Amino acid sequence: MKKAILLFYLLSAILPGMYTQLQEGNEVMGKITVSNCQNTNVKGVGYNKDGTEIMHSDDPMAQPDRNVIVSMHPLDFEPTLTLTDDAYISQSQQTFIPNVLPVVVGSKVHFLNEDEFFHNVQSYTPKARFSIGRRAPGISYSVKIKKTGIVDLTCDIHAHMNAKILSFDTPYFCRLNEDGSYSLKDLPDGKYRLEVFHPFCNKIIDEVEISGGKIFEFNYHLSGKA
Amino acid sequence: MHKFTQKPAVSQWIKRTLLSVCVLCAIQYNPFAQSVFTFNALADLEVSKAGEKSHYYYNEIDQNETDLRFGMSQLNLLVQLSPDSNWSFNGRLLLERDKGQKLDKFSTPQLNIQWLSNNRKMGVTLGLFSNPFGSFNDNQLSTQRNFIGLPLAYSYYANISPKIGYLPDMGDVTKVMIDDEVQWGGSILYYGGYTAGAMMSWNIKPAKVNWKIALVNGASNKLERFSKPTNWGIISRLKLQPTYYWEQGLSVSHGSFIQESEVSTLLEDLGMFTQTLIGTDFKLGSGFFEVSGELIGAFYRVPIFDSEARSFDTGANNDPLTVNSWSVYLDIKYEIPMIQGSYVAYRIDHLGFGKLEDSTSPQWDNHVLRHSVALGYHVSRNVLARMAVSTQQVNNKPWNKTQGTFRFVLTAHY
Repeated sequence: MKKAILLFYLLSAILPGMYTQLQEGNEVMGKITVSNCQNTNVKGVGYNKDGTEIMHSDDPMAQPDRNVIVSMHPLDFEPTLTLTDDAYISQSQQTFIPNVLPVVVGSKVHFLNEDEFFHNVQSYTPKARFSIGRRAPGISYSVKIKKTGIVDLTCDIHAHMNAKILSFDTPYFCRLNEDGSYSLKDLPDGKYRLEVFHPFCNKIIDEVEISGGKIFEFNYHLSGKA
Repeated sequence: MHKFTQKPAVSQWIKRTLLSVCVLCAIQYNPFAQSVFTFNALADLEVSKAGEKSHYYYNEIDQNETDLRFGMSQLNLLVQLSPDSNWSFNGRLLLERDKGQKLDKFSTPQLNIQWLSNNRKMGVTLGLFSNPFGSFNDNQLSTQRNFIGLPLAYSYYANISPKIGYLPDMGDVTKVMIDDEVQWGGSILYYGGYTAGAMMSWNIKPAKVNWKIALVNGASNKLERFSKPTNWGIISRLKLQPTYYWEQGLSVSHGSFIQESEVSTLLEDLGMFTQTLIGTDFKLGSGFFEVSGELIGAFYRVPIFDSEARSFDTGANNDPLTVNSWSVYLDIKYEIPMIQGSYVAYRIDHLGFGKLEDSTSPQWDNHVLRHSVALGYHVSRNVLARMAVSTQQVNNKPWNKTQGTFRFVLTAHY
């Protein structure tokens, strides 16, 4: 009898989860448009001494509009987190590429110096302070990101260099595509806080509810300086 | 006798014209629609104490402020307006202690228009900009410096004044009033590190070879930005990066610096008195270590001033006096990996002077040897705390604390 009761409890605990997993996940997609988010007011620690010695990469991933991140934060369940295993930031032509990197909290971010001179990566963000020192070209160095939220990165040697790591406690996030579209698949039913992050725009925060394995479209417009 | 004015009308006119050009260009480009406006602010709060024989001209601590002193030492506002990727207008407004005394000296050391080519290979800067000589002048903000004090070549006043030329024991022993001011001489390089004129920068091989040449308003030791007569100078710097851990710079500067004063009419041609600098600097780095240094040779052609006769001793052939000096400093910095944002640094700094012909003095000023140690810690991205102590030996006399300094500076920057 005890075994039967135990089996009943086990099944009642496992089956709903299995049902959820078997059920086709929801898809959230849409388009994000951007206007008036130009980086017209920059704070920083450097100032222009000789512009010829300051480099900027033309890589699209260094452009602000290619660094828009959409994330879905479950409000009524705890998501299973899988560490991001391809979290790379390179330093090329005195530019962090990409400029914004989303990762799951606890992931290791690998920094790679692709220039022909020293770079450093450091963060003064509380609870995420680190410095990797001067790193030679071609050498990669990893740092585990232990806190959630924004981790601001700078290079001690080139004051104009900066980037951000978005450390999430959710696995549901993606980068905006070149055409402004985004898509997040296999989202379980539930209520979510949807966030759209742009390096220079005000962040968009919305609350959405999805269910039934359907496709949901949410379009947003980013404007206004952050 | 001509009375030299500190701020001639022409300087005000140039300033206003430069400002007007900046404003007009900014309006033309409609900055609020497409320009990038960058601003930084920086403030230094300082605690200092120094030995009883301190002086601003020896160790940057005023002789009346050797006791424990607390106060704001510097306020900066840095602005940059970039209408597009080719043009930018750069300005620095500075409020600092005047000769280490009261916080009442307001200036605009940087005010320039800069043009960059599309690929950033070429650049032209017009206006007031940092002197391209050497590597130290690039570090104009306190947040870019490991130590609080400047190297001796940039701060220690030697016996050559831009108003009277050479005078033995100038200032500390022989006090000569010219234009209502006791003459103390000047540093090898102007302590502010800024100059005025036009500069061209050429990135011959980006990040590997960079060459700058500037036509400026005087030699590198000149303090007054606008002077009468208008001095001239040429400065050039070649910066090389032979490999990723090694930067090497070669600099040269030549120009006139003697200015009109109540006694300058006694000299025939002020432009014949010149300062020539040659210098080389390097930076080596690895991991959390950095070693850097600079060697500068200074060569002067100056008049000799006779303080008793209040006249110049130009010699039998009317030749200027030729003197030289050498300065060298070496910085070693180690960032402590266990305490992120912290570092410890050591500097050894020497300023030596050449022999003086036909004189009983072995050299034309006293040799100085200084040791400095600094600790720094970035409290946050916008707050830097630094503490530094220094001690110096003058003319090979025994070490003592009389010109030693202790300084603690909290820098807030945005």
